[in-house]
Amino acid sequence: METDVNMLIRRSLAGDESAFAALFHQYKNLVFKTAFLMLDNADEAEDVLQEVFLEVHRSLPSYQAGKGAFSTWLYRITVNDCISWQRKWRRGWRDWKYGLMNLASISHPPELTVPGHEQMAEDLDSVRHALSSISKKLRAVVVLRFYWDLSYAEIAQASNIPIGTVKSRLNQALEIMRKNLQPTTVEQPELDQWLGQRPSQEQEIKVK
Amino acid sequence: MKCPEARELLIPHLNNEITRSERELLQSHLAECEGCWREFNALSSTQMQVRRGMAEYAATARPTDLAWPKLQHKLHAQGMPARVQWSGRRIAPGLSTLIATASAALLIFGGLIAPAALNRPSASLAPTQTLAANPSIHYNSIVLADDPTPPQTAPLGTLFAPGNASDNADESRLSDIEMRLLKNLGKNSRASRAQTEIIYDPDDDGVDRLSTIPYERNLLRKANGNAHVYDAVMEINCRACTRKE
Repeated sequence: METDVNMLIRRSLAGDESAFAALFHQYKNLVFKTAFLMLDNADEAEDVLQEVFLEVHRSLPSYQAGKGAFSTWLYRITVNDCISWQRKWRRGWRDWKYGLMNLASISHPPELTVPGHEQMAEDLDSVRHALSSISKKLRAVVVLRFYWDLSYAEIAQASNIPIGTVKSRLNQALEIMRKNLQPTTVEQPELDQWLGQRPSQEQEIKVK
Repeated sequence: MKCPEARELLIPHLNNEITRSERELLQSHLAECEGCWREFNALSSTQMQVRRGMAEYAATARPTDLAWPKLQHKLHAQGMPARVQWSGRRIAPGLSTLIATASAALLIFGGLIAPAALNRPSASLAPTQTLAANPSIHYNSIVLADDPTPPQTAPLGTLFAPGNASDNADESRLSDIEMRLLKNLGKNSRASRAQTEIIYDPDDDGVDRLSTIPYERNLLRKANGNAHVYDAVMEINCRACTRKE
């Protein structure tokens, strides 16, 4: 996979536009979804997608495959772009232009029609609210860990921070989100499966 | 293991980021400490909720089909082939500084001195000029089929060049926010997005709106000479094109 990517990069550098297009199509979802989760807005995520690939195009000659995966490099550019993204004045303008009623209909997903949709929508809103309650730096770590399943080491590389900082940011983020999330709807058996059963005193003795 | 030490390890444990010996110590502690076990439960529940929520929320999120054509256009406007053929050769640091200084001087001259000296509007671009003059033209032919010549970058000062009566007349219809945005366009490429917000109203038919509303048409005309605004105009055209289809 990474070899294919390196080949596409080499061809792009040699002026092959179709190779750059292939790179774009291969990684557009990675960039878009990261930005979408970071900014909670599809239009802005699309803008970030453009900015990121313009930056990729500009910086491709300086990319060194030996220093890390191409995807890690992309995560880094995307996260940096999202962190520096200025949105407030744009939102303010949109509020003014379309009115609060219209904005409310844009901000909330349309009602689902499947059974249990109310609970699902509530859970979704709750998670979005929790995500919006943390800073962008914390959100970046949360998205990379809990959506993309990157390891601490990969997150550290993508965010250009030490592993210790990744740990502390995750701790901080989960603490804040916990306060802002509604009580979980996760079923206890499923939770047990996820966690593993709590070790009993007997097991503990065996461990000792 | 003491409670504070155990609490530090709860989240790394949930993420399989602790060593085997740490895990064994933590599990022993959790077996005997009700408080830490509750904390562990709560954190794991939060984590699962966040994982699920993000997975659901992003499941259907996709970039639009216009993402690549838009990027392609921007790359062409930036001279992609020339840049790519450069192929990573590095310029000596001294030379790059010299080039940067010369470019900055040129920009300052172009942006501040030249417009004042010349005091005339910038050259217009064919696509948007045609758009304003002949709204019946199908947008496909303007945006997607055409491979427009990269716009000539005009200094922003020319957008509000004094002495142009019609400019000033329409300018008075712009809100403060619009004025600020227009003035910032040359400084920030993202401001071009804001330009889109001003002149594109998703509730209207973009075609009629672009061709009939005077102050917006005037904005488009002003946009003709500015590369950043041009991007925004292209985006509007792309959207209008999609709507047509």
